[in-house]
Amino acid sequence: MERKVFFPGMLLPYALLAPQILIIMVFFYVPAAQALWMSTLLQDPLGLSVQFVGLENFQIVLGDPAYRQTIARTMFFSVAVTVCAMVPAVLLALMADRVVRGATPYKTILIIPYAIAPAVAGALWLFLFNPSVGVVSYYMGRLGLNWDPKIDGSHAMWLIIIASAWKQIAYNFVFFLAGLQSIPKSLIEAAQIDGAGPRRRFWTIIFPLLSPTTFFLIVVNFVYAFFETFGVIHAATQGGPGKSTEIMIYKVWYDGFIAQDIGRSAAQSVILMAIVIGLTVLQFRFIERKVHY
Amino acid sequence: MSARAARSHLDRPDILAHVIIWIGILITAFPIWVAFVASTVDNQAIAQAPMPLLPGNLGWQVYSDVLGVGGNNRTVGTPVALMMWNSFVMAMIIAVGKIVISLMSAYAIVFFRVPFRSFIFWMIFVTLMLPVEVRIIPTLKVVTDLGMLNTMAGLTIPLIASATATLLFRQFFLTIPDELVEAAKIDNAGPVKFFFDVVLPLSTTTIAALFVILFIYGWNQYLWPLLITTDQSMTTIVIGITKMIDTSGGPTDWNRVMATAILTLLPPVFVVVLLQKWFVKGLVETEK
Amino acid sequence: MFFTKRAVMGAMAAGMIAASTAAYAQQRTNIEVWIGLTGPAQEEMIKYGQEFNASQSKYNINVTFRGQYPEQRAAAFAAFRAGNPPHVMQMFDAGTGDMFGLPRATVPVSEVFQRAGLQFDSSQFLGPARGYYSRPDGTLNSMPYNVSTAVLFYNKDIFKKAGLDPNKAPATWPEMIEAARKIRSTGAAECGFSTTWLAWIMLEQFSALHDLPLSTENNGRSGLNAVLNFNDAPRAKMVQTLIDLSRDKTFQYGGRSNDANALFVAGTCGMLLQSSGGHAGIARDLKAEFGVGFLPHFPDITTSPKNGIVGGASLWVFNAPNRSAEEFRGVAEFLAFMAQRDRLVRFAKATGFLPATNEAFAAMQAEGFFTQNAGRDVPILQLTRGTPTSNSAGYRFGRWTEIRDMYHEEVEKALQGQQTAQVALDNAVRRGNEALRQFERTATAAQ
Repeated sequence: MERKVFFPGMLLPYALLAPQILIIMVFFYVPAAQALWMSTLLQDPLGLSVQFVGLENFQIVLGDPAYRQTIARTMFFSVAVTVCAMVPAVLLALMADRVVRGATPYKTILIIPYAIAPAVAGALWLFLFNPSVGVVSYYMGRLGLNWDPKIDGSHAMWLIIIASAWKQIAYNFVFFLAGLQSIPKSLIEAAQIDGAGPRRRFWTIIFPLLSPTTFFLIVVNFVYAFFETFGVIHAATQGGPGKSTEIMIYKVWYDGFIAQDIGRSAAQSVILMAIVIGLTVLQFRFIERKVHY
Repeated sequence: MSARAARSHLDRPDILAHVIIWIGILITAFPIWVAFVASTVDNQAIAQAPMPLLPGNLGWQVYSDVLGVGGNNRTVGTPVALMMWNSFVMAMIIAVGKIVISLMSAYAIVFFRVPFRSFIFWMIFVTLMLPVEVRIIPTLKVVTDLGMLNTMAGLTIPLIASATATLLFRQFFLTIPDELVEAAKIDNAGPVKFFFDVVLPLSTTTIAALFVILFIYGWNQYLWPLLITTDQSMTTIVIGITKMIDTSGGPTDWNRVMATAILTLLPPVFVVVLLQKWFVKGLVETEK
Repeated sequence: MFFTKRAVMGAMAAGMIAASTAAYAQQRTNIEVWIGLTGPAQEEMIKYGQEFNASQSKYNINVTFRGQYPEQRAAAFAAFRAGNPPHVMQMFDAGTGDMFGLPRATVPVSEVFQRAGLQFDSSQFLGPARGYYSRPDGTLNSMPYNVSTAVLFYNKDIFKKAGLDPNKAPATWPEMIEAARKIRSTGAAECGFSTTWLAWIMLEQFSALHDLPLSTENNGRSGLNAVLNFNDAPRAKMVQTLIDLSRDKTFQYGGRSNDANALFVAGTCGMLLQSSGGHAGIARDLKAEFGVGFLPHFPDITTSPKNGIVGGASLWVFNAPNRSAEEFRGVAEFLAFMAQRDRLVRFAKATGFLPATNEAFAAMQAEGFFTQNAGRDVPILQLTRGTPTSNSAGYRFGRWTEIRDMYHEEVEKALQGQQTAQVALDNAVRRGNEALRQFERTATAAQ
């Protein structure tokens, strides 16, 4: 899509573009280039000594079994968050699309978690599952389920998965509902008249028509789980116990900021960049295909 | 509405749907409710598990405490009111700044034929790929080198440096018919007049929707403020909460933490609920 | 006040030297002091800054809290890179080695006092604290301020219920374990004992008490090339003991930092190994009588346990190209003001930290503070017990915060039954040495 009619002039458009260009140059391209450069350096925390070490940081990072575990953990976490955030969302969207009475207040309440900061979500769920004061952990204890995310790594992992997914359900719900409402009602009615039950209608009509939305949401949820959940983790578990809830972005922060190991942190940033670019390309290729429909 | 009404007439009245939605609402609301209850009781009531599930006797006491003296003076000496103000200013600058800058650049890209136009477009477009979290340490270095640590500018401008809004406006501007531009040219109306008379009024819905999304985005920022605000008078509320939980001294004052959590989530929730219609439309359009 | 230092520097660069020095002379010299402490200690230190400002007219001290230690340190380092670090920074114990490895970034406090021509006797500080923050030649690099060590807290009510003598704290690990088992078997409490700050107490304090080295090179004090070697039988025995006792909740692990404190305060655990700095919080929150005892030791490893290791933090003076002699002088005067006996006594009373100097301790004894506050002297007695050996005089490692976390991670895995105590320590030592070698490379280049 392109315009055919334009305004004349050069000065004005460049002046209009200037702020954006300036900002992205200074705060996007320069840091991105610096990340690449810093990933080849070994330096002390204060930058008093800087040595060029080539790809050594990458060798160290990728050769470290702990980092490979972090990658595996990040993948598990992302898949779990995506599934736990999407399945309830699609279910709720299907139901909300069906009901008439009370539909609007329902929707309003269901989208509220979208507005809640990840760190606050982490704090809320930590409070519920806190081994000494948590309400949920208390009742679980009464049922004989010992729940202690301060000590047990898998408990901690589920804590951050639940907190992260809880917040993201709202987002997915909005999209699924929008997707459902754009499905022509005639299609559904036709299927109903043909005697197709709700389950059959879902799998044969609704699900295929929702698949673009679904695919898009998978990518978005992955990106969410990769980056935005930092706040959840920092508030709820701080990566522990052990490293059992340390995902890649958390490790970038920890190594670069707390451990002050800038070279290795930058190398991890570069690795993450490669992954995000991969995900984005995937998303765009998909969007392109959708345009051809 | 009528379409769906017709549909549900064909189905049996669907109790199951209501039940499932109510389960969803319970799961959504439960953590918030517990937080609210915790913010109205004293810490002893919380510590003696199980804590009550109905609001307690302290009423708004804890709220006035945190708003005045800063959540838990063991960990943050900044009053919650100040932290909320910081968050508000940050969110507003990010939302307004991004909208203004994006309007300008999208307008330039769409309505002018300048050299390197597609190069510039791609330059902006690529920024979509890397969220600030990925390039966090080098960005911190740049901001440090510029002497922007602990400044509102350092806090907000790097977060403005991405292209989502620009792309959305570009998308929308492309739908403005060429005839309107022609007409403006015939009337001898320049690009500035055209922008304010035609384009801006047409864009109000998009702007409103973007505002909601960007305000929430700004308010909820975490990792970046964590690095950039080391001066406690600059602390934002979301950072403040986790600082209160941090265990360095004695036990956490959970009632204050939860009161602060409620105060933190109110403004963005309020914005979303109030502008729900625009927000949903904007969200779906921005991302697609 | 409207002239910030930066503005003044800028004006000077612009050639307005005469004007700006006039403005500079009229006003006080600003001194930035960053602290990482929270709570009463933070309030006290901010007050000292204000009192100092009121006491003289040449300097303006600005004491601010910049986040807890690791975050504060990162912020100070970022400011250093930008050429404008705080004048004084409070750095926690474990960060000491990092600072020693970067001598160009700081000025030793001994030298700060010397330059200012102020009398300063570093031997006034408690022995282990002095050793911890001094160079091998005796130069005090940073000034100990908030000093703590770890001790045993026990709940007297629970002791009574379990049929134990509430006036006698267990002194050795066998006694401790027996008491913990009794607490469990009589149902006096859900768990026998817990510990906070796992690495600091179970590795660092344990090693000092039992006179065991953490590494070669005098625990790192003699060189950056120290190699960690704490993966021997006694240390493994300590960890294995914890693992074994955790099976039936004789010991309950409560997280690597301070979380276990909640278990003790709630009466869940009968005993707690905790920083002496936790005393005030326990006194406030525990609804029972409690006693304080020395950290337990294993009589089969040593019969005469040494002094414990100091924790807490010290005050460092940053160096920067734009620092004037006048600023250093102001720093010296402020530090001397902070180290006055009465102020240290006040700080110790208000916070539960220990008085940093022998003189201040003696003053508190003389006024009968410890008879009124039973148990508050236990940490000092433990710190000053015997003559420090090279193993108990402290340690000095770069990246120790990170290495502590490696120890935590490996031991936590062992507590979850994923590996034995020996494997946990082997792994911690191996990973720790990798970190040390990398620190050695950068620090050697930065000397």
